[in-house]
Amino acid sequence: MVEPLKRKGQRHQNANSLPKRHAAMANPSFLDRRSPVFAGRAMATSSSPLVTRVGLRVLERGGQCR
Amino acid sequence: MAGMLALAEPMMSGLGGDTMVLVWSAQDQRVFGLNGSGMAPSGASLARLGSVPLMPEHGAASVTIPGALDGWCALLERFGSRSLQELWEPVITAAREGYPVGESIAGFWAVGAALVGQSASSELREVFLPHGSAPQPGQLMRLPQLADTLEHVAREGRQGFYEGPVAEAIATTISAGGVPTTRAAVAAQQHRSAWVEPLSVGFRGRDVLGMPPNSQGVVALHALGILDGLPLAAMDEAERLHHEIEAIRLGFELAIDVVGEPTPAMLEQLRQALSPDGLAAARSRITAQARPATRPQGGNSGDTSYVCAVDGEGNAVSLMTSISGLFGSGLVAGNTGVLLNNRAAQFSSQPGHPNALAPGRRPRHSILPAMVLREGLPEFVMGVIGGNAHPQGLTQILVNALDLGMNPQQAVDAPRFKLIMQSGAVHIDPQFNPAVGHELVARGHQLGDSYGFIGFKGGAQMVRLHRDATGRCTSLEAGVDHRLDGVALGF
Repeated sequence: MVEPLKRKGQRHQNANSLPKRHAAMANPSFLDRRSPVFAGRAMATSSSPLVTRVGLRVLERGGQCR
Repeated sequence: MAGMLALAEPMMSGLGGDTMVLVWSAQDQRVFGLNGSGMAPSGASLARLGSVPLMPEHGAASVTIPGALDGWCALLERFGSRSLQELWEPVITAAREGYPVGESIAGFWAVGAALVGQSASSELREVFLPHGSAPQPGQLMRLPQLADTLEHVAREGRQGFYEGPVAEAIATTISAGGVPTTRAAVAAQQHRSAWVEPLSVGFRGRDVLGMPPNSQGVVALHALGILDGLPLAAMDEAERLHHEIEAIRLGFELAIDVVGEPTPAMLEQLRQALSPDGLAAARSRITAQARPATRPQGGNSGDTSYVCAVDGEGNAVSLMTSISGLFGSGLVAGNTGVLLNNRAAQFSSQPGHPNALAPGRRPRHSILPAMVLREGLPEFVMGVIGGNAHPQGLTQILVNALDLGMNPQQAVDAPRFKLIMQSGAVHIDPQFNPAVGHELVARGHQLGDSYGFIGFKGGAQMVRLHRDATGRCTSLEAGVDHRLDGVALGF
């Protein structure tokens, strides 16, 4: 699933010898899946974008959640 | 959010259904449970049904008095910061002007229309199946009757629903279907929502909280408590799934035999089943082979909506709401646009059973919002919709997160199984390695179709609260199941 990156990595002998900024390439599992959503203070989730939006608007106006 | 669900997913939830909620109050530093499930109407009677093995799935005999609105009012009164009028303003606007139907909701709309079939009343067809069919994905839907009802209820509060023309429409519709229901029986649901102490069980050093009866939340808690004593992370996939399936089967057997309108004796029986001794005894019943046990009365229907919200002050809400099966009873209350639930289908039709139908009683209930505390503070706020998929999804997703180290999005997206209690069949997602299915068959499991509607693994949402050493929440991490239309958003 990550063949091109593996080949790239192989040119550098092993993952440990990669420059630090390439360390994530040694474990590139983030490439082939949906990411979680991060937030700092508040979060609304639902099974519909319409519903999440109204929840977020209440939260942004400083309301308590329900 | 619950109001918007009534519009976005009308075949799943709305004013004609029930609600159950877990609230973490930052001020009180504790979790409150709210049971807003409705009771059987005044004319409900097993004698009238005659001797039937199961309750009817549709029609007036399948309806309980809707508890959702009373529950939401109770929630707002205790913890809310906005009026119903302010909260529902965007809902009423969207109901009048039209809103685009999501893809999976369009799918459920069509499946639900087929399932409810001839039981669909003329009002249901007129409101929800314009031109005789379900909307296509992205098609604009307008629900003007529901908009009027929402506006009336937002202005009048509880009384706008449980008294006056809406209550009259509910009583008349149920009565016309053959279950005599007075307006007083509808009005009696006001202030019936109950603040309840959640049930809890230990799992991987956390406290998993769920709803007590009449919710069947104990299914997930019993299963997780059993699994807490097993080294799941060290097992291969088939062995792990076998143990999860068996633990869930034991949880269902317990709930189906015990859960109904709560009594002190029932609660004590469940506390015993969730105690270390009770869990050890259940754990010892799991062998290398599948238990053949089934429960014909372990009704699978129940399609539900879930939302989760965490605010900037650290309050958290895990809220479920449902009209039970898709399109509920098939009845719309008069010209209100309110679809009446078929939750009474989850009563037992056997006289003397703890969950037997009787006026004023609430049935064993599939909805179960959940929350997980670590060192007394919320770590996960989560729920799974889809009838009997609720407790099964919760169990598997927590194992995914805590035993297999998945993030919330991976945990909700990962392949799942679903056990059907009526038949004993296990439906597994086609993404599992085929060898896993072969191994489960070798262990005596009967595999069901991986693709059909009955095997729907439910739709999950999970928010994880990350904390620093002092317990302060530093970030929130959410996952929303690819199986539905949903999204998570935060700031």
